[in-house]
Parts: sequence; C-alpha cells; structure tokens
Amino acid sequence: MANVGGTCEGVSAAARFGFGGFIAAMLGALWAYDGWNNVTLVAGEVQNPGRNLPRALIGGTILIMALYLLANVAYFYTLSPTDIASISTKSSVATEVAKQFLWTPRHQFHCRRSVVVDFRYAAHFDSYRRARALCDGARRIVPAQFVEGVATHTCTNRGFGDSSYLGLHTCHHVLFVVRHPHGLRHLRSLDLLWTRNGRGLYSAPQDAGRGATLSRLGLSHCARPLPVGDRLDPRDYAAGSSRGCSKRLRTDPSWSGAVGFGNSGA
Amino acid sequence: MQPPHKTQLIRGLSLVAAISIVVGNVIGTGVFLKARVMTCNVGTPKMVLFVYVVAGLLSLAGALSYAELAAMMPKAGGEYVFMREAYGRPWGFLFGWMSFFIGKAGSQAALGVQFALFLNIMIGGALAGDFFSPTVLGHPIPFGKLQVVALASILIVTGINCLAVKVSGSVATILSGVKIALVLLVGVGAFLFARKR
Repeated sequence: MANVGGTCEGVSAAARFGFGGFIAAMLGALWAYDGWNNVTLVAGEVQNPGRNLPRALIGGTILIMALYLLANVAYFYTLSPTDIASISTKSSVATEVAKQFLWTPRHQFHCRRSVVVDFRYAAHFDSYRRARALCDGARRIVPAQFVEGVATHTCTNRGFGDSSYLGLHTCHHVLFVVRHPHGLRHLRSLDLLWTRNGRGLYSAPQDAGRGATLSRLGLSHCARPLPVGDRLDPRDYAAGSSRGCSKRLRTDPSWSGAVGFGNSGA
Repeated sequence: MQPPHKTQLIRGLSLVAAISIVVGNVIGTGVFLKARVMTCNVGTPKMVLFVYVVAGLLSLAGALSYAELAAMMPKAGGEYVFMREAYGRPWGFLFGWMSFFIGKAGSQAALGVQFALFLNIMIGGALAGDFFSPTVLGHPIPFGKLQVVALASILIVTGINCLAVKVSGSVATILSGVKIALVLLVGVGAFLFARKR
C-alpha cells in the first residue's frame, strides 16, 4: 500500500502500511458501522416484525453503506489524500471539505465555465451595450425571476488566474444574487473583459509586439455559494437591491476596485 | 380465579421508524472523522473505499443473521432474548445485566460526554469551567457545565424514550433524517459547490 505522505498526526507507524494498516483501517470502518444491531432491542414494539425487522436491518445497512461511500468519494473529490492525511486531530475531514463550499472566503469565486468570443471593434461598445450584453448572458444562465439583486462594477488591471488570454485587461462585471427555487443562494459574477491592441489602451501579453489590432470580448461566469443567512456586505460586494437586468442595473462608483476575484478565469 | 393479565408492548414502530433507528444508531462521528486515519492506514482513496465496502458487507452479513433471528423472536430485548433462547436463562441473565450496568450504561455516558464536548466547541467554549472537583482515590472528578449538559442530554433522551412509542419513533425518524441530511450535505455539496482538487 502506498505511503500517502502528510503528517498523519496520532497514527502509529505500525498502522500505516501493509496488512497492519488494512486491519487498522477495518477497525475504523467497523466502528463507523457499529450500532446496526440495536433495533433488535425494540423488536417487541415493531409493527409486523416478521416483515419490517429484516427490511429495516438490511435496508438500513445498505442505505448507510451508500451514504458512507458517497461521503468518502466526496472527500477525495475535494481534497487530495495527502491533504486529508495532514488534517489536524482538532478538525475533521468533513469540516475541511465543508469549508470548501460553505465557508468560502469572501472574494473567492468558483468559475465553472467561461466563454471567450472574439469581437472586432468590441472596444467601441458603449457602456449601455456592454451592460445589455452582460444581462443577456446572465439570462442565459439564470432565469431572471430567480435573480434577487444585480450590480455592475468596473475594474482595471486585474489578474485573472492562469488564463494567459485573460491576463491583464479591463473588465466589466455584473454581480448578481441568485435564489434557487429550493432556497439556496448564490452570488454569481458574469465578467465582461475586453482587450485592444495597437491604438488601444490595453494589450494582452501574448500579443504584445505583434502589431496586431485585436479586440476580444471575454465572458466568464463565476459563482460563490452563499451560506444560509449570509448577508451581503455592500462594502464587499455592493450588490444592488433591484431585481432583474437591463434597465434596472445600477452602478455605484464606490465599488470601483473594491472587489477581487481570487479564482476568476476558467 | 381469573388468569393473570398479560401485559404486552404496543407495536407502534413502523418500517420507516425501524429503519430510522438502525440509521440513527449507526451514523455517528465515524464517517466525518475516520477518513483521515484510514487514509493514513491504507494510503489510497481506492483502498479506503474498499475497506468501507468490506466493512459494510461484514455488517450486512450480521444484519442478515440478526434479521432472521429477530423475525423468529420478535420480542423486546434483542440480543438478550437470543442469548436466553440459545444458551439458557443464566446466560441470558448475565448478558442482560452486563449490558444494563456496563455496556449500554458506559456507551450512553460516553455519548453524553461527546455531545457536551462537541456542543462546547460549537458555542466557542462557553461550557468550560468546573463548579467543584472532588478527588476520589487520587483522581480528580470535575463537575461543571459540561457534565450538567451531558447528564441533561441523557435525561432528555430517556424522557423521549419513556413517551409513547409512536412519539419516540417519530423523534428517531426526525433525528435520523437530520443525520442523513448532514451526510448528503457534505457529499452532494462537495460535488456541486466545491472545486475539484
């Protein structure tokens, strides 16, 4: 069995490899499964016990197996084995995984997709057209009736993750709060980025010196789940209170430069 | 002379309540804590999942055996009844009283203390501090808010179990639903909202 690395705080070296490690892991798993037999204590109070008791024992155990496998697959989907092995004994795997989506630091967005489209003369768009383009994009992603608040924001010279194309540009973005029908809320951003080389003010690093006139419009869609009860801090997000897009967009000059996008980009 | 009146327990637990008792008894802190140690033990995610499958199949084998026994002897007492019927009354008696005074009593005390400790962490250590700490045979036995909460949790759960069987079955169903929801929250939430590593 592989050495996973990590600190493995409190785990004996004898229980880290080979058959000893397997047996130690079995102890942990069997401890997690312990207690399935306790329903037999109340067998005298179960309706139709000949039918319900076997179903409860077998069905319950299978349900628990499925839940445990789901949870563990989720742990390894989110954290690497070394990260998991390095978790402190004062914390837990579930806590660290939940932090990845329930306690995302402010300003950190998860970008699931981005669309980059080349537009000639895109820089000639006036701000109304830019706003309309953003809202049209927003509507394609989220039906307007679920949009709780919308705001726009302009920023310049922002780094955008590992995408070289979206390296250093001007951007316009719309922040909008989405309330899903099942109650969850998201803070989403739809970013419009444009670059212009040659006579323009902004140039993409990879195009510098080529002399090409370039106008590109990048549209990236980022999302951050909002924990239940999380109130938007206007100083951080400046999300507008108006609903919908288009005419209801408002711009607040105090937002300029106030919002950072930790994980923007594809 | 009238025959003695035979008292019978009310069969008020439905299939859902029975499944909830199984699920509620099994799901504890293990699934939330053990992945770290198990990863250190076996090294790879595949092996951790394999261990969970093997342990699950072992538990399922036990569940199948108990299902047959419980269907044959659907009486209150569970393993005590199985021991008594299989090996005789003395062994059933010993098993029953051992469970009552040592096995179940110890595990309920541990659960109560665990509940108080986790609650203390959740509320930022507000339960810290002792009212008094007498020494018995050289060992200090602290008594403070933590112990009060632990005792209260055991008393409340005992009270719920003393209510009508349908009420305690409903409480078990609700609490098990909360546990399942927590596991699903972590499991499904990670896939939907967390970034893949």
